[in-house]
Amino acid sequence: MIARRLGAAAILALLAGCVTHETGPSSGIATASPGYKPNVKTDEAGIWLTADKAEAELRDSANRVRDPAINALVSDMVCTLAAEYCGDLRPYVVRLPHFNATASPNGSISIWSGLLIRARTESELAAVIGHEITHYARRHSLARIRNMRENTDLAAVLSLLGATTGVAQVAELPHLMAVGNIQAFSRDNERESDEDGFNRLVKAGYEPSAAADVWKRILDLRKAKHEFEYESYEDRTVRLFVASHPPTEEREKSLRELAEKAAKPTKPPPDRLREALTAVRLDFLLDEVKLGQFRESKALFELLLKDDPLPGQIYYALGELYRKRAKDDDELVAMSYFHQACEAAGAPPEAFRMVGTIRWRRGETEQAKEYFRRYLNAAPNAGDRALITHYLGS
Amino acid sequence: MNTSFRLVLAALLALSVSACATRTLSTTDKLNREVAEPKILLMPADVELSELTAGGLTELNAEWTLAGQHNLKMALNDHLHKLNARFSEYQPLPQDDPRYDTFQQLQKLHGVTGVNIRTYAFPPAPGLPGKDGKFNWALGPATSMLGESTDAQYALFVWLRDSYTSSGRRAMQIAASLLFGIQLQGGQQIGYASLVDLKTGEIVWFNLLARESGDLRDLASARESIDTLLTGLPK
Repeated sequence: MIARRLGAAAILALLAGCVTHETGPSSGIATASPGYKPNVKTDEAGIWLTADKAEAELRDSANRVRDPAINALVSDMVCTLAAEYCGDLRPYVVRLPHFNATASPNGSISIWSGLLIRARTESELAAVIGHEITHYARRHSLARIRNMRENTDLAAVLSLLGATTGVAQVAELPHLMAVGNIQAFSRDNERESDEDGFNRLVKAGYEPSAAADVWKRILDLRKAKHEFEYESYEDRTVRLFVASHPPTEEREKSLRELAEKAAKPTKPPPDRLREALTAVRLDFLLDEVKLGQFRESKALFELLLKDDPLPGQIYYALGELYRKRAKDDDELVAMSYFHQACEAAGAPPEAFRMVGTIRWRRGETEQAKEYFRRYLNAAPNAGDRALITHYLGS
Repeated sequence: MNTSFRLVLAALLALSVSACATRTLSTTDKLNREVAEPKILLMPADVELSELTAGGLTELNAEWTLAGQHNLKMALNDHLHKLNARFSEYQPLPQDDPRYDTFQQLQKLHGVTGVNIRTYAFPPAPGLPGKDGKFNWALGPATSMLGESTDAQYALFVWLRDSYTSSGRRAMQIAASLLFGIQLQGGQQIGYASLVDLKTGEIVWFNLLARESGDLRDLASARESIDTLLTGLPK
């Protein structure tokens, strides 16, 4: 029996050698050439097929933002940051309220709405897009999947060998090692993307400090959340982007150092982000409210208020944040924000209706009517016009 | 792994240990023959052929998948021909076609419905309380638009996952069996096919397939797979 086990162990040991050999080293993958398509006989073609399917789904998804202005901007930015891949990369703006962007191996790039409202300048957005382009260019998905295969293959073999000792922990250890190796490999890819993305940023004439700035903002918002709130540190917003990424503090620091060494742009970098978001930003802000992360959303909105050309939208979102939390005096705080929204640039008509509704409920009928009138002035074709007219008549 | 996927897996595993490779639910065993040779429209088939690595990962193989999709169509064409039905393939519309969204939504709706049938309609799943043990699922009246614009009486939806044991996995299986007498999971063929009456929107036949054999990579084996997948198709 023991002899049989040893025999099988020897087969496995041989196999371990060939398993790792078969897949080859994952680091030596060449950068994608412009117009690159994988040969159908390769493992990469399978990865692309999966990505093509996901892209088709994204293209038809109701969550895809179809607004022409923001789509035109991100397409232009992609081609500015990577002229060589202009025909290979397809950016999609997606209505997902977290800070994230992703690049698929087949060249589709998702830019999430939560990123678009957190980036304060076009340069900051460019820093993130540049990072994602590097994942595509360096074929990181392929490298990661091959690395994962090598590690899980090896772990399976080692764990079978370990199991011959009869000690459960020895059999489990290779799986833990595999997880560790896979994550470390992923962090190396992220560092590479940070560096190469930074180079693209500078080369395209964007502000070099923007890469560090955007990470600083994410850190600040995260701190605002945890300082005050008893929420889990398993913070979903941050976790989505940083899982298997280096710590945010480290990234900010390295990017800051790179920015200090880099030459300043010779002319002011373009900053078309705010204008491109005009038609869609209010929806994005209200999606943020729905996340139910009161402190972080409040910190974000207050930060945006500092120099925003359309503060009416932000006051309205702040009002909604309090109204939806509905604790103690939240309705009063909400009403005060709605009032501020009404007098600020960019006020959505709904701000007037909110003041009207809250005042009506509080029995302040005359003031309520004034705001209902202003609502109908601002939105003469409102779907609830008949209802509001009814209020005005009573 | 989400809950519904787990339920599906449990159902499929239960099926794979049972004697037959397929199980069928249907509302009829006859095709509507108002048209002597009814036209059956194959919707874009969700077919993936993969290799099971030594470590247990399932890796999609593009070459096999493209071959499998091709073989599926060939075999399906022949199978339907024998039943005196016409085979036709859905041609995706350009995105600016006014029917584009409706037809895409119908496919998504069938995707969700298919998952629910797979998950809840076959024992050991207890079945949905609202269904009261009946097989009555429908995609709604929008299907008639698909029927009119393609001149088809039925739509056939196919979802298939075919995986093959890699040489590394096979070595693992042998070693595990020699060392511990245990059986490691190898390649599988799982999936379903679903027939929709485009006039009424009803799903009239639904067949679940799960087995540890079957191959779509070459045409001869694909014919066997498709014949099995279409067991009990209304005639």
